[in-house]
Amino acid sequence: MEFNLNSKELEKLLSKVIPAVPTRTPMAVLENFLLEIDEGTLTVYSTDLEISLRTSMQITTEEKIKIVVPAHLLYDVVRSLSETQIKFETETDSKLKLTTDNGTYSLGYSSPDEFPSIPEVTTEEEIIINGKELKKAIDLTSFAISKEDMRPAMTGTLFEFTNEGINFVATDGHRLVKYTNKKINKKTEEQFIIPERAINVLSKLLTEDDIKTKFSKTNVSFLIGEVEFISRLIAEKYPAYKSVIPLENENELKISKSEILSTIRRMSLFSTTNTKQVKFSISENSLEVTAEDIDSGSSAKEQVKCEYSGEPIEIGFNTTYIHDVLTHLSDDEIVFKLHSSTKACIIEPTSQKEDEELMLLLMPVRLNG
Amino acid sequence: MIEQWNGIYGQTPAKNFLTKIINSSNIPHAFLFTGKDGIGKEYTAIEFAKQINIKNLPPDKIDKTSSSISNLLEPYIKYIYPLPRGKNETDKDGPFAKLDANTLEEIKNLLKEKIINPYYSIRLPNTKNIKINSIRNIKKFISLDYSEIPYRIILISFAHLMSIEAQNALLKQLEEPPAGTVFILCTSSPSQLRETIRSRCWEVNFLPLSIDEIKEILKSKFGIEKELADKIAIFSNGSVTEGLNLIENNFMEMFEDTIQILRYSFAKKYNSAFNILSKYTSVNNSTSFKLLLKMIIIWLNDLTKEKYNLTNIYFTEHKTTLEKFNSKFSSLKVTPLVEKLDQFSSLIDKNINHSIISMNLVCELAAFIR
Repeated sequence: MEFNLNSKELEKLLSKVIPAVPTRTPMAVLENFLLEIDEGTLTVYSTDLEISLRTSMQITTEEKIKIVVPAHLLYDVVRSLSETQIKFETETDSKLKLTTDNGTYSLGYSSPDEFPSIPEVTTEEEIIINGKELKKAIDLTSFAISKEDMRPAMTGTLFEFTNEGINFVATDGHRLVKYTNKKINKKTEEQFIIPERAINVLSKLLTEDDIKTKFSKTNVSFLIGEVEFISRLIAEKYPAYKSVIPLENENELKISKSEILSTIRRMSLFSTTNTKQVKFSISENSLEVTAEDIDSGSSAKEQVKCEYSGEPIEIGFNTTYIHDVLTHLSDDEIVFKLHSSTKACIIEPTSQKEDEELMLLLMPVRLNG
Repeated sequence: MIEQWNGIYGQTPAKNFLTKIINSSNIPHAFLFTGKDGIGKEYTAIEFAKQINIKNLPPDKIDKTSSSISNLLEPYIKYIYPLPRGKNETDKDGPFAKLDANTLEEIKNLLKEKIINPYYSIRLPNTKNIKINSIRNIKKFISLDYSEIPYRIILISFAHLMSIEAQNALLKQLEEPPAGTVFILCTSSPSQLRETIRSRCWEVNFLPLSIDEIKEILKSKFGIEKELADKIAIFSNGSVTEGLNLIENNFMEMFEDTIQILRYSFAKKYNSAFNILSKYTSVNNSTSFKLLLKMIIIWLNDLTKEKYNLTNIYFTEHKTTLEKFNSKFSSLKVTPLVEKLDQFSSLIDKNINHSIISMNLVCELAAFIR
């Protein structure tokens, strides 16, 4: 086999599939790319068994070959070359020879038999999602994905197709984010959970272009330009998250996000390291935020401008969680919907965008004393 | 009997039992394979994993699945074995996430050996436990949707090396595994596993291998020369691992040294006996010293066997010596001496100075034919 490629074009191609190559695995076969040449197309595959990537480009050769080559070695050598033509040749002793104007590089290759099969999603229904919109959904929700392996369903983002669009949901039991995009629809109402690793890699691959998405029972496929990204789905039932969203939160606290966020940042310096508690004392048009570190005897108190007309409430939050939630809201005018000091608090932008709905839910912490 | 069992030596009762299970198509979700190390428990588990899948797969997928299981590849088989802890590793990291490159390379090489020869057992130096991270990782492994694979196997090697915390974590997963998940726990010490784990598994007992089987495995699977394999097999107690352990500790030399130590001690040549023993007491690793003590005990047991004309003598080459010894000292009682030597062996584990033990050993042997 013999063909020529431009080093920069090849680097671009390989950079798209390298994210699925695991760096620390005892399974040596996964540290490879599967290269397939057929009918003048070079296709490169990589997988860590959870996620798989595939991309291809046209080359001039009529040969047909399928080999497995060390991924990082190939990528690193191609990446370090300045723009040049690389001649690829396979030699009889299972060596792949790369020749440039200045040097030759020889890589051992092996048979593709042991390389895991890359799943194919053959479902007919194709859902078109705009890359920018999907990126937004991921950015808004992924921070709340649970890191706790014991509840696998929560270690991914829920893609929930309903009659009114798609809900992206993530929760770790302390906070929950639900972002609805009404423009994305599927013929049937279904739920799919995509693992966190897949979400992270996907987020980096997304561009502003439209993405063709297909769901099967076991996998999801995203076709982003020339790159196909496939992820296994989590085969668990997502917790009935709707039942934790309170309906009777009638007390609304309207507040500026930037102001409360800056207050929270200062309060986090004063809250006890293990509880990270901050207290909101709310009464008519008044919000007092306090934090106290009993161990060191330091404390802080701030008044924040707000609009509030409900009953006086004292409620505690974890500074890290409330900080995370607030930083993921883009609007400055936000509203805290409250019921009592022990019930979940809903945080939303005051005005929702057209065809979108964002809701963040935060569990309160029990106040000291 | 299923053709696939052909590569596995011995273990007919276990193979018969598993064949029945395969044919019944009613696969329990957890097994406990018990028996000595190095008798083919994991090999049988790997072949069993292939069989239960092959029966439920379309013909075009059989080869790939079968070779993936032989190559111990996920998602078909999750192979769990004791691993060292990485630098700054927390219980939340993946089992391999914090291991350094050298350790990972070593693991890969050991796995390669295991794939070629399923009798090979994976033991990394300074590794005493199955990490809780490895057990927690199972949860993630089984949560991903692989419903196209009929049975995914979780094979836990040296299961008794799970800490109590790891066992508790496993217990949760053993209680309600998703359909198509089969746990196979292999252990030589089932009593070290929690009763709650044992009661959730089907126990399959594996028997020690015969001397001929050990000979054959050592020769064909580990490339040991016939002469050495023949001799080692007798002393292996039916376990390939024990046989290999003897080879690693220079068995032939140890064999000769055992005879010499006994000769010198009985002749009250304390210094000469002590000199030979010093080879075993000066090294840091206590394995060879323990093996030497075991060899002496075997010789003493042979003495009793010869006395009662039993045929299964280990030191066959020294049969005439045993005969002469018995006729000369017919009234000697071997049992109390063997008990003493057993105590010495346990003292090695308790970090007692090896030289003191060896001095006592020579004196005890010398006093034997007072």
